[in-house]
Amino acid sequence: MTLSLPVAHALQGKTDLPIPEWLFAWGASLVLIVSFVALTLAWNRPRFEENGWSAVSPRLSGLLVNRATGVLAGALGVFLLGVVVWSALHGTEAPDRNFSLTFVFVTFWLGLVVASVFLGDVFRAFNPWAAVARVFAAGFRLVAGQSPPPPLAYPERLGRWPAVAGVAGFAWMELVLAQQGFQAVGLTPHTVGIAVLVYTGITFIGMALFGIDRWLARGEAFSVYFNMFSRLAPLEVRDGRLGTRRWLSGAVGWSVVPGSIGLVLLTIGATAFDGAQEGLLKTPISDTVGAIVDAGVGPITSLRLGNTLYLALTILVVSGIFWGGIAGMHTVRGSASTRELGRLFAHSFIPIALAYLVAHYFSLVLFQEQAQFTYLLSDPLGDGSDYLGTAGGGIDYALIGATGVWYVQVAALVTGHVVALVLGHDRALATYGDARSAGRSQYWMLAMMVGFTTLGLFLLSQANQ
Amino acid sequence: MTVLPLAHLGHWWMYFLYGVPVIIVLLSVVTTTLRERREGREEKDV
Repeated sequence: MTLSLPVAHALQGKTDLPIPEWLFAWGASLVLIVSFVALTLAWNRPRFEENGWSAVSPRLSGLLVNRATGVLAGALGVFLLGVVVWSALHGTEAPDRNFSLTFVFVTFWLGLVVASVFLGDVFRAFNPWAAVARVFAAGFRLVAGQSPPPPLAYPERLGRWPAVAGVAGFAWMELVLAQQGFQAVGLTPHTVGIAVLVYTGITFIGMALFGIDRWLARGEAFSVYFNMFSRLAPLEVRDGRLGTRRWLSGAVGWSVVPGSIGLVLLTIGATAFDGAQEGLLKTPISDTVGAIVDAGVGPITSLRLGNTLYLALTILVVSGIFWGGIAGMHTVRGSASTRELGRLFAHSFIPIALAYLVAHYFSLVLFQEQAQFTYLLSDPLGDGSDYLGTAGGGIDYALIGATGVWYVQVAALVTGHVVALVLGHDRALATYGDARSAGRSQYWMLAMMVGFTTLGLFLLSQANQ
Repeated sequence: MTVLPLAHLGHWWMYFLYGVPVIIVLLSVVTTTLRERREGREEKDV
């Protein structure tokens, strides 16, 4: 991420690792192979097909999930959206001193992923667009005596594709529009403010056309994105009641809706591109941009075209690994079609998307959140105000060293891929019926996991140099 | 200045080192799949 946030990844060369970086990739692969063998031997029946949701005590549920907390959460979401737009349009254009950029790209985009994985679909409660729409719907009911009927039925074949388009747009803004070079200044708070307003308009139109809940479930990019990660969580609110379920079990069945595979592959691909952009692809991108400039295209357009091209290529490579593995799985006797297998197993890649995000952005979140909750919160416009008395705060870059960050990255990638193996193995047992065929199909899953792990570590090692 | 291809050997060597686990696993998967197919065919013939 190159948003001109100070020391985006805060990584310098790691000089005190006990072994070379590539040996970590070998070690990680070994852990995956051992996990695969252990799963084959000891995990003989599917355990995630029934997620076993059970409500917590009515008192606890009522305390946490009720009308008052719902209104409060919605109001907080609307307030924060307002602060983002206000600071983006009226604050300093210095990205590291303006509340909006860090909030949108770090606290919201990355922080809510972590919250979703542990606490469930929390964004549903804080979604500002949903809160505003519900107030309008309640007003309509009061006047007309009935709920406003959506004028259009949502086309089911579209599935989650509108949300995928929204996430792709956000990723493009973060990874391409934010690129500096030539006369391009990167992503300014003003641009972010305009983008937020445009997205707000699109979301309201979507909800007005297809109904609030339908658009939130299928078309609203952030609801769909955070919901994907919340499927790993042990908490879920159903029909207004809070309940618990097995970790990971909510992911089963998530990917049968069209567009889901696209979303998870886009998430992995965009994060991989962000890593590759700073290392492996740095020279190729620069050469390509130079060639486009030489062809007579303006420099800023060339910069954006070059980065867009490599972003698309990275997503294609990630998709190629996925569909290659699925095609391999298809060779096992009794397999469904390749397309069906993709839909059946894509949920196993949610932990990989999470692992890539944690590995790539851990240090960014750790450092930028210190800014977010001190000087950016107290001085959102960056004009010298001090509303909360914390404007003098700063970032402690000594909180963790480059070596510590590297170990977190390795641990995140290994854990994410082992969890993905578990999900894939469990689904294979349910799909193939017998343990032998399930094991065979998962050889290919193992190959994909080893591929994604070593790719992730390779990209990080290159970016860190 | 002419750059000898060997000058990039360090980079390619690094790519290879990261690729070794993938190559090993892929080779094992392919050979296992082929062997099991062959065994399946032989069982059928018998």
